[in-house]
Amino acid sequence: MLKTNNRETVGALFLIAVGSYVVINATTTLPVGTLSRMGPGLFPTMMGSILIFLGLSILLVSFFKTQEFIKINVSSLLVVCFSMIVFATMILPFGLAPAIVALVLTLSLADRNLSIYTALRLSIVLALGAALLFSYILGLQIKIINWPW
Amino acid sequence: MIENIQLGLSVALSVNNLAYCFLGVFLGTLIGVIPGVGALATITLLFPITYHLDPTSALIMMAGIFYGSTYGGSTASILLNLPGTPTNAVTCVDGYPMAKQGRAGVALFMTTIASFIGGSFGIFVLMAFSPLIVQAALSFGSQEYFSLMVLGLIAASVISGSAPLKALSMVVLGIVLGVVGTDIYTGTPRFTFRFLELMDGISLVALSMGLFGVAEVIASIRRVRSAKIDRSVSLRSMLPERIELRRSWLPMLRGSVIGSFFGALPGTGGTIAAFMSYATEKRISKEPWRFGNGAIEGVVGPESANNAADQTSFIPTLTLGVPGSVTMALILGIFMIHGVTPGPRMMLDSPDLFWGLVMSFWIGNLLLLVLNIPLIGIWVRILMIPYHLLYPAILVFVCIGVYSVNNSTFDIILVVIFGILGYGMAILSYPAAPLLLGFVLGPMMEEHFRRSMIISRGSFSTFIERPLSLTLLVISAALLAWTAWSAYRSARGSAVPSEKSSG
Repeated sequence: MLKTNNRETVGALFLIAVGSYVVINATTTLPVGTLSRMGPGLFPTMMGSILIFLGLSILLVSFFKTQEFIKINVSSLLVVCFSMIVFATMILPFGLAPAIVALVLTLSLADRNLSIYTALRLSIVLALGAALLFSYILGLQIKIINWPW
Repeated sequence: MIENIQLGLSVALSVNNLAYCFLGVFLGTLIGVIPGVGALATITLLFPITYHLDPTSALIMMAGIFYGSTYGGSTASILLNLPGTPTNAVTCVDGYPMAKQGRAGVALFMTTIASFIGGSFGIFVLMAFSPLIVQAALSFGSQEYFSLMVLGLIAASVISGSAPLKALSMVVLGIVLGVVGTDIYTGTPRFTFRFLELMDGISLVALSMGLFGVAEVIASIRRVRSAKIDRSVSLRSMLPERIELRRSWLPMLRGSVIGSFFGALPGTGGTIAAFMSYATEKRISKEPWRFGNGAIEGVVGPESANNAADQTSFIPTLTLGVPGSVTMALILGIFMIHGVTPGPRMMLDSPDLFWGLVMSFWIGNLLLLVLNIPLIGIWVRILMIPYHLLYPAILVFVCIGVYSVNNSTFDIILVVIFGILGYGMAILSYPAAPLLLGFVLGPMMEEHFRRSMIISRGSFSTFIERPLSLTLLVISAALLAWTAWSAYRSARGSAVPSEKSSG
């Protein structure tokens, strides 16, 4: 009945952790005040407390449920996040078009369905389309191609 | 009323707004057709573009995307047995069998008609009831608004999902995330970790893009295969037989009424409406055995219902400023970013925006009726684009879109963080929609709560002393009690499977 390695418990613990953090942070760094003269810290404290309460309830329920194992697709997660970080780092120094190409190429490295050649062609299409849409039609202030030096 | 209609038409029929309306419904149908990508994701993706438009045009387009996607979603349901949007899930049950029997054209044609009738009915309800509600709402005080928002959040968590505790916790988490930023009353920064970019709070765009767009992409990369359609749809095959017409018109009417009702309630939307319509038709029918095998009533009823619900879900959003569903919460966010606060005052202070929007619904629905019939073939072909070409495009769009809002790469990093959070939530099966609702409503709730406390000098009883506020809170409590009761009963060992729906 009491399983330590299960999905529900993880979620519940996360909620309790976040709630506790909120309550501690709000009560120590912000003036809480009273109900009639509410300070900025009162509402977060209330919400954090409710979160802890709900987290405990879910934790309690989790002890009586049968669990399924977590199936995490770590590689997809990392690839997507990394590609977006690449975009974010490249857009200011190098401009929109290189950033797009870099994003798509990064994705192709990890995805077996996306070959480098398809990725290259796709990224050029997207770069052109994005330049057209965002720069010319919508007037976004971003350099298409830039050179930092 | 006549002056309002005239005013609205003059706004909606301007060339600019007509163009945006057309663009909106076209994009909406297109996105609706693609399974897995729904109105929520699209509105999220196009949200940043609205920054560059004026509020009326932006809202007309967004609304068009919203109700247009429900029109298109039925296409995938019928042809692929995969819902194009969550609200079209029920349409698969009888729509796909109809396609297998070679009557796909009829099904597609009739759902378009049904969607139009449902949408029109919903707009009538919207036009008739909004002025009444606005009148009543003018006497609302902070206490009533607070209680109404509590009811909306609880209803949203409790009704449309199968894990109410988790949904409620997500609402609260959303409220907590909404706290991040500068406190309005005192100017103190809260939870900003001394990041300058967080002084105005977490960007709504970053949150919704990460939670819905990126998380969805991460989850779908390995999963989704593109569609293989073996049946081509010809125009000639679309006209229904007389008996099908006779069987259809009452379900359409019933569906419209059911949809209008559920759409207007906070917390429920098109998905519930569609389910209810299906259940009603099956129960009323003299030949229930036909359902599940291509009964046209099971297709047109739900489609009328979900389109009616789409229109009436604007009622609480526009008249009270309380979103009835997550997508409405996003649309509410768009309003606020453009400096318009929806609520009873909006209809009085900006009648051109309000009535222009309402009239654009008419135009949009007409456009959809005309568009969908000839374009069915194109939609079918779109369904065949392989996913591994689609998702890089989505990610590029997300990145540029988020960046363009504040010219900030910090926001892109936020999207990554929320993407991870969203993926984690999906793994642990926590619903993401209530989080967004809590995030949008949280700051408003806090403001109304604080104001109530100031007025009442710190006494909670103010929420209970005022009759309307008391009623709303009692309904919320009743909903909670009912959920606890049914959870208790199902845990006791009845083998009834719970209905999984996402609203």
